[in-house]
Amino acid sequence: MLLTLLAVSFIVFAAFEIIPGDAAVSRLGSNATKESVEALRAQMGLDRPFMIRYLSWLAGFVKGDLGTSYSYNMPVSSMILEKLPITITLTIISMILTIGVSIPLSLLIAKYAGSKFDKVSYGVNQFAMAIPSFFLGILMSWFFGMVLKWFSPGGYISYKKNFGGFLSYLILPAIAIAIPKCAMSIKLLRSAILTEAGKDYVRTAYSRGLSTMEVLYRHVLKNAMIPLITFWGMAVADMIAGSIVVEQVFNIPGLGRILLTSISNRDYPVVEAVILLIALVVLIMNVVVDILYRIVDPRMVKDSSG
Amino acid sequence: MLLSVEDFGIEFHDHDSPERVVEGVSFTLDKGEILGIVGESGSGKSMTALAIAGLLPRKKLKKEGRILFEGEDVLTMERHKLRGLQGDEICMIFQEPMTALNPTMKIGLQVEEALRIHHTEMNDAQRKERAIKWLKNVELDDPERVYESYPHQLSGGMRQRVMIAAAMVGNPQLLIADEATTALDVTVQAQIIKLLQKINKESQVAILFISHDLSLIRQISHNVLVMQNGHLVEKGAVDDIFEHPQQEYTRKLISAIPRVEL
Amino acid sequence: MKKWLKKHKNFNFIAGAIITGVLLLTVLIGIFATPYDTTQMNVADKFAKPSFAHWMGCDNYGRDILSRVMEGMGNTFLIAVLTVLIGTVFGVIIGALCGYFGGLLDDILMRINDVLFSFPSILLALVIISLLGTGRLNVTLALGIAFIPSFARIVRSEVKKQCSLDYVKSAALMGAGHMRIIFVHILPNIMPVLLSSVMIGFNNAVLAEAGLSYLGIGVQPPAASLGRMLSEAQSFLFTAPWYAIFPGLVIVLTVLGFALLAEGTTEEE
Repeated sequence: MLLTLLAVSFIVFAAFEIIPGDAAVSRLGSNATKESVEALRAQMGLDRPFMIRYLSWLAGFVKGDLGTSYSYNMPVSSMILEKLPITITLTIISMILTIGVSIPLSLLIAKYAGSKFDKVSYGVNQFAMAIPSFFLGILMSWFFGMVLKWFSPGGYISYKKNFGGFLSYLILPAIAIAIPKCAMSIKLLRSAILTEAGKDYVRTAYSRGLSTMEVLYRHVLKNAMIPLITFWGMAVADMIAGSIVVEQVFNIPGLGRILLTSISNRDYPVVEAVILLIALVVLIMNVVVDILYRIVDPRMVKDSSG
Repeated sequence: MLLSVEDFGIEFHDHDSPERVVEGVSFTLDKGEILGIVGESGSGKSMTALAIAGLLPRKKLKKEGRILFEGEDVLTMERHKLRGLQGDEICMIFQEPMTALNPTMKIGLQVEEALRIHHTEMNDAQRKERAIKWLKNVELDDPERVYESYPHQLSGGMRQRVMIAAAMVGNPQLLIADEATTALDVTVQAQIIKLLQKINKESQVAILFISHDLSLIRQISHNVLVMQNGHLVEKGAVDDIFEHPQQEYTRKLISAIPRVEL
Repeated sequence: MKKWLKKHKNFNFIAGAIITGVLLLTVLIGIFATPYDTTQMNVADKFAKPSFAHWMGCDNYGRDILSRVMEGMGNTFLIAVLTVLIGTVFGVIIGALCGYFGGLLDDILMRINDVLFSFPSILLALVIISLLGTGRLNVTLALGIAFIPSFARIVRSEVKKQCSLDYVKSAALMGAGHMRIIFVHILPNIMPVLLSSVMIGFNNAVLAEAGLSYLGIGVQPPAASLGRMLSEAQSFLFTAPWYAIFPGLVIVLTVLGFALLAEGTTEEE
């Protein structure tokens, strides 16, 4: 995993090296004198060889120093650290919603598999999967914000000022992010539940006098969730990506806002740091998924007593 | 009399034309009796067993006749009442010990499950004690360790013992063993047969032993039913059936037993 | 036809085909003619409600939304098709070679691929765009590149599966060259899998393009784009909700149509 992270960091750094345009020039404007550009390059450390700059950047990253933003002239780490809780909270709420809603719903749908209810929910589900989160966000801010006037769209509340208000403002964006993922989860989980429900151990459970709901909850669910773990692991990364767009819809100053402004300002240290951070999250999620597999599925654990 | 099956039949309705898989089957089973049902695959013996255990699906299927367990009809019984019998009075073990246990649940919890449902008055320690007792009863070494294991850590024979323990934990009146030894090695098969006989003697549980293997049936049963194509061909005491078969089909089955008796 | 329908009863396929067919037809018509000029501003029609004259109403400049949706759909479809094309061609080549030959290069490429694969494609595209700059061509390129890993991954595992089958061995025995085995023998056999991932890929491309254009880094004005229209419409949600609803609905229908088609084709297998 460390090796992969190293490779990714190298690719990210190298990618931003080969792009045309000099950061020093773009900061000073094209009519700056050659001397002042050279001086700035030296100050920014751009005059050193590529590998040395990469290594010092990497060393800084390990120490938590992500460099200095070109356009704001402040440490990237403090910029990101301030916005990170927003995006993380949003992702966590969306994830809780996705898992919390999809499990009971897919159990219910699986219980009535083949019925009219199943067919209708299949249709609703397909439709929900097709809605982009940001369109959902727009619809929701129109409906809840303008028609029902439950909240004021764009009236983001900082978590530093009022944590409760902050959380309640994040609910709608989180729902917008969660609905398509939730629909996908339900679809996968329903079919996994039905596959598991046909297995022998389910018949054994029925022979002990368990009701259908008991069989589903006590026996089927855990087994059916095994294939979903990978999907949910990947969904975390997708939700961070989704939140970048949805943050725009609801005017939330999160990680997405930083990424977008720094891309348009060509503020590469910030872009690099955000990307590497997300790559780190992706890799951590891979490890978490691995660990979860081992917890949920005892067959994955190498056992000497077997 | 524990169980009385009267003119029982099953008709499938999931295809265009209804299909009769069992017809006109009648027999009785006494407390503590071991009754063998023998027949080829498709003879309807497993369907009959599932019906007695109340495990046949309710849809796409028409059931006829009556299956009286202690005087009450399993077929028309209300669902919650049926569930009260399942796992407590009527238990079942199946052919595939490899798949009949939940792979992600510890053995102990699976053995205890019937108690958890039917004997809510017991606490965790009592349940565990009972489960360990039964794991010991089915002659598993180191029952404490087995209790904490997962199914994939046990061999096929051990899993079938676990299944028997899980079935017997609530002291049922009737144990249905549907091809319970078919998937096992011959030596393990013999051990399981002996185990079932021991349990039958000790706890006076009636056993419905279903198999296509006549020599096993002869070894374990008190009485035998012979089934073919959903019909009951012949029934009687095990010695009568094997010494003086009345029907052509039974004779054919018996003559097909390989004669390598030791 | 009736018999076929009765035999297959493939509701997904039929519904998907109808939705996609209608949308494609609209796009085709839109290439040659739209009800109004897509860039013609008309103050009198500013925020006109949906009516017979303007089925989807008008936007803040009095432009006909239906006409702009038709043009935007065309752009979205074009970008999505090209994206999937780039992703498929390179994905198939990389995946097939890695899966067939294996070895160190395969190990290295797939390690990197695994990370890229779990990296959301819209983010990957965002990174590439920040390198290449914005605009329709760059968005297409960026999305195309971002889609290569997922295709490569699928193709590789399918090719690996096929390689263990006897027909590949017998083809090798008969003296077929590596390239012939890969492209003549193996590739046709993984077509069904590839086809359904192409359809899913198309949907992801539509969604990603809409997202990028919404963020303002996709198709640039005055050209119409569904995502862009949504971001413009957001400022006028109160006065003209239809401005947002119709372009969004078209995106939903596009994705829904293709998802149903993909579902239907896998059912047929």
